[in-house]
Amino acid sequence: MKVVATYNLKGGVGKTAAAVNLAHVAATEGARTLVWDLDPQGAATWYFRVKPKVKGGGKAIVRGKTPLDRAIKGTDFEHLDLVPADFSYRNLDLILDDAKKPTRRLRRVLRPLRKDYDLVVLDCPPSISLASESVFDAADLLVVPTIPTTLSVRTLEQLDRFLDDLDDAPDLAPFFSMVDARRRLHRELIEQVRAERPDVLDTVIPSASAVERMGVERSPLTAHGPRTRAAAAYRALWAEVGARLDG
Amino acid sequence: MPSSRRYLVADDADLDALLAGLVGRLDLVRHRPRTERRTLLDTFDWRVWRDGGVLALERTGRRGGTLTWRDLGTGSVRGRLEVRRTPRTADDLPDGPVADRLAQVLDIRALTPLATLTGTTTELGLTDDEDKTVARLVVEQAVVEGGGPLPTTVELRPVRGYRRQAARLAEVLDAQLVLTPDDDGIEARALAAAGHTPGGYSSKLRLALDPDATAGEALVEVLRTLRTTMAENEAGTRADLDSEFLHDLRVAIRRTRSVLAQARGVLDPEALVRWKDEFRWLGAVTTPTRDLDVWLLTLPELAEGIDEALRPELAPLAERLAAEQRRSQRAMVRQLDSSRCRRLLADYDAWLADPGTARGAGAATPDAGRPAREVCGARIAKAFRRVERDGRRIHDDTPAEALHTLRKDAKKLRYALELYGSLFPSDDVAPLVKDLKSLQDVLGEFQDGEVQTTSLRGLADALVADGAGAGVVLAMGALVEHLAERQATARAAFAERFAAFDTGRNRRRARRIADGTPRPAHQPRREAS
Repeated sequence: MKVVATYNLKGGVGKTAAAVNLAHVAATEGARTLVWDLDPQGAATWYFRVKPKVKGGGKAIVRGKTPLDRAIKGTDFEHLDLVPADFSYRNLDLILDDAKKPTRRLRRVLRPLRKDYDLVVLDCPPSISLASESVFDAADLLVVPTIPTTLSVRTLEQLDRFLDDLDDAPDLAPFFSMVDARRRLHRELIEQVRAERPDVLDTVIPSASAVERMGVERSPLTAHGPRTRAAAAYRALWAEVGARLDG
Repeated sequence: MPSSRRYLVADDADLDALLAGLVGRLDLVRHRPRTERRTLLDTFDWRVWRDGGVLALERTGRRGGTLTWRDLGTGSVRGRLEVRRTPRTADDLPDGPVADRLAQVLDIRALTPLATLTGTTTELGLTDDEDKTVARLVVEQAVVEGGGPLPTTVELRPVRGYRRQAARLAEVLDAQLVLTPDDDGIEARALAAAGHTPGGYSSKLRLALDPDATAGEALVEVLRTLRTTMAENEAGTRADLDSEFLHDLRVAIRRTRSVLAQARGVLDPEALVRWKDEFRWLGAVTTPTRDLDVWLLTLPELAEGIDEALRPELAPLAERLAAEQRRSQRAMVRQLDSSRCRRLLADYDAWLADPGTARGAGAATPDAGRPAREVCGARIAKAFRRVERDGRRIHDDTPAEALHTLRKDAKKLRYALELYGSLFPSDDVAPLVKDLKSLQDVLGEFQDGEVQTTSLRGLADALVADGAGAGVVLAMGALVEHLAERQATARAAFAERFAAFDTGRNRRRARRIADGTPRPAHQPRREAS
């Protein structure tokens, strides 16, 4: 079982769209996939038409009182399951702070499922906190959507420094998201960052109305609009992410 | 995850009215019916079925088809694979997680098409107020090619995490008068209609002898079971579907020879002489092909043991082995077609049908009428003593032949325990078999090394004569070295494994089997001090 987390310090950068589409592509290729929506906003849960409520409460799951598999919901797609968001996740830091070894928590909660799933995708709230530390501990790879602005690129550097201080930090896989290829600033910034950072993925996710329509369609773009340019980009993104996980 | 529920629709029921009624009452979305043709596949020994699944090749066309692997219990899809043609073995599957999981189930066995269904499948999804599917109904009307129409079925497939919704739907279905619970399932019916019994064959011996049988009756029943196994594996061996058919056939032949060798005093001595000779011949006919099969199966793993740079150099060896295997397979089939083989099997079958033991003991068969437990128990005890005696004679500098002899002794004991084991308490037989198996593993590893090292020399000569380069010879030299290391490891492990077998507990087990005394029901434990 491999664990991928989609993560960014900033919100609104296409993080949940990446989580949902990557998971869907992986599942169509046959990987038994679980998405865990840790973001109290519950966007991933919304996309899968599942109600944002965890049986017994998200708190009991995170603290290990209720096994995670009781919270799992099958989506409308084969091999693709979801742990829905729960309103209690807005206090995820407090919940973790009360627990023993808070930074090891998520890894422990996921462990019993390692034979049931090939891939777990954690959709994380945008922050650096106890919750993100627990995510970093559980994840094999951090997939970081980054919009091509100077400010966004700087948050990537902040993340680097934070991970440097951790013992067992996951690998970083940043990619450019919401890209408008007609804008010169976007193109230049991407070139510049690629030259500096070999860990940046080649795939670029375009800024596209098809991605925004996911909220209306309430399903992964790769499911309802497989022929769109953005869907093709997500498939290419999964090919790269999958290769990083295997490598 | 909850199991699926299956129902049979009554023959005279109006299916459309039934579905319309359900759609009117529940939030069911009816999808367009699909016309489907699907071929069920499994290995000869039902590995997919025994693993709780069913494998079907669907939507076959010029561009291939979809291999769908479903869970029989829940109806959910375990995996789908796009394939160009019907896969024969796990090697033919496209790479990916589904193929990896399926390969673990199939191992080295080949898939064969078993039954083809054509028909219409209609899916209905139960949705909640978010338009999320929370349960599915699958209605299937199908005909088995060559087997006639099957009853229409309705299957309720739950969605994980929506147990309550599935239960409510089940209540509605349970109340329908035209639906009755279906305990078998459409796949089992289709397979039966095509003349198959799911789970019907296993490489494991399934033999339950009557504890009150006479020795004559028991031995004949064992021989008949083994003869059935030979017959079941003959077609697959001839076609070389996979290497396990020949392996199972050979095991049945060796077991038969082992029973015949221990049947003195029980079965007609003249017949025994003939069958022993003839089955020795039949076994020998199949040996070269099996040796090459073993080579082909083990070469990839053996290659892992040599220097990585040398591994590609083994390609000419692999090709040569594959070519020789094909040649040897053809030669073996010619022998199986020979009049000698045909006469052997026909005469043997006639003899097995009436071996004369039913008429009781004759002068030449004084033991035929004695209780099987007595006679077979003594055979087991004798084989046990022989393993014990020969094993104790082996030391670090004992020549390889002594280990080979012990390996044969161990095989005889193993066969006796497996073939007659059902006559005795399993808590005496099973642990003996377990310790024996672990001993046999090291003996087998050692002996395989001997055989493969010898055959590598011959192969190297042949390859050089054909103009092979130095690379392959060097790589084969490295293989010889690796085999020697493995042999040394096996030999080093021998003493420990034998000591674990040669214990007072095992001697008492063998003695109880010989005496026909059961194990004491309660053995008081020594008090801990």
